[in-house]
Amino acid sequence: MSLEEVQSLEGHTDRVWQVSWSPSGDMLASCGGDRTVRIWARDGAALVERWRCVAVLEDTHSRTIRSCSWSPDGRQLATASFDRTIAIWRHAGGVWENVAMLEGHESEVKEVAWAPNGSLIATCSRDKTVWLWEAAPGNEYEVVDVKHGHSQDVKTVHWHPRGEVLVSASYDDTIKLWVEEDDEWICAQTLAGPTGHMSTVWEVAFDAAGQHMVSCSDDCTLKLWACRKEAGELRWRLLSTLGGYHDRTIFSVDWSKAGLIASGAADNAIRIFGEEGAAAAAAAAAGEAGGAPAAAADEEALAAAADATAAEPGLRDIFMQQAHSGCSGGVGSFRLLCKREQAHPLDVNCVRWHPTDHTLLASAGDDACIKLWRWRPAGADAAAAGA
Amino acid sequence: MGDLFDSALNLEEQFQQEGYEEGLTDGRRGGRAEGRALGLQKGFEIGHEVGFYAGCCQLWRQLQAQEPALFSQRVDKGIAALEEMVRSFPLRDPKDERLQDLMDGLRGKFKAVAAGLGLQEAALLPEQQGGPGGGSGSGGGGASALQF
Repeated sequence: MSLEEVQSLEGHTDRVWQVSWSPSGDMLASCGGDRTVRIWARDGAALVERWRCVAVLEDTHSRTIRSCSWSPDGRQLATASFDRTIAIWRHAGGVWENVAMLEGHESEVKEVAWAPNGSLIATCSRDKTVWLWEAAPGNEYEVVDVKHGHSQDVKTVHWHPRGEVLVSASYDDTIKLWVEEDDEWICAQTLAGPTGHMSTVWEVAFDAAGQHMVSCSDDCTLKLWACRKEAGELRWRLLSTLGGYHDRTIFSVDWSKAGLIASGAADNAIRIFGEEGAAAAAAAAAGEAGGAPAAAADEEALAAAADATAAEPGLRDIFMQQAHSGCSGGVGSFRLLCKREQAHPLDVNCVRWHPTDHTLLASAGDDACIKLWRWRPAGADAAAAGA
Repeated sequence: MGDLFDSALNLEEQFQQEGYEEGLTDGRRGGRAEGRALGLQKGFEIGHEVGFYAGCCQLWRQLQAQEPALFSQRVDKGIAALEEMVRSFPLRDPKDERLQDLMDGLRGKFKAVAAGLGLQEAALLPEQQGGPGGGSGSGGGGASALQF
């Protein structure tokens, strides 16, 4: 099993902070410290898989562009900048136009996330707030709500695939879940405390079904959460903690539709994790000796999380059962399938799986490069095993 | 003979007790003064902030009276919500547990309305303004620094 470099996309002149695939996967947007956004598309003329830069969006933001997010119909792109604004871009026939600027945040905007319903945009900032914006006729955007709650810099906002829950995570070590209630957004749950992360949470990602979430943190762990509702209330719970695999901050995490979790870290490496059952079979096929510590469900944490519902003993048993089952709603143990050291010569800031080509992965680094990787499962190529 | 030695035996305990009581009295006096000062400071800050929002609402309504179509429906609804939050804010109960959350909600709603009106820095409290570089005044970037 290995991660094979397909191409290195160069052009940015400063660190690349984030990459984002268009919903159909025909384009890749990248943004970074050089205050530009680059749009990449497949080179139709090339015989092999080759991507090239088809547009450069510049002279709009006056500072680093930290994040970019596509609208669900793929026609628009939102970009968030340290200059405290969010720019909305529209493209048609290869021509890009800046159609709106969203102002309001009091300091650097860290992320922008376009909701699945296409009309809401979420943003977060070092000013500790999460803002919700709604598209109005004529490229107008109205502020729906401004949420306080985090006590520190909010690093990321991310929508649940069904769009009912907005997740935010912060330098304050917590993850907050926001839902709409009577036209107002409220914090329905905060994932913190003994089962939560011990340091800054950088990113979150959902599995294809939206039943589980993975979070990555400066505490060098990945945490898997079950997205559950009880009696109409959100009751997301910790399922397991993947510790001992990273020894530096994990900046980015993404979950492919095929069930693989990719992480990008401050040690310049990209790691791929897969579920125990499938991985064990694949590892056996490749003749690999299982040396990595098994990522078994964290029993203590599970018990603690289950005990949190002490008032409902029946639920506790169901929860424990599901967490261990690996099927029927629970998620199995994850194990490290591959570690690609020096994926970039510097920090890996972002990893993103292609939406339809499930073995294609893009990564962005402090080296100002974007790299495209092909995931080769066991049996595909014996010569390119491991790192 | 017994009386003389009795009082000598209790001396240590007696002095300890006196010292304790003096400390208690001094502590009470100092603590009360400190608490009063803190209460005055926090009370002023809260009152000042809530009053600021109340004043903004009043002004906006006056402007709206002169020009009924001035605000979008969303902004109008936001101002109404802001007015209600200001009206129901527990100004008389410093021990109200909801104080921080209510203040957060108030700030958020104000920011949403201000952004809807296209006001940015102008909408912040004077001590929060300072320009992107921080400039003079408290806090960097104009982020609200009131904590409880």
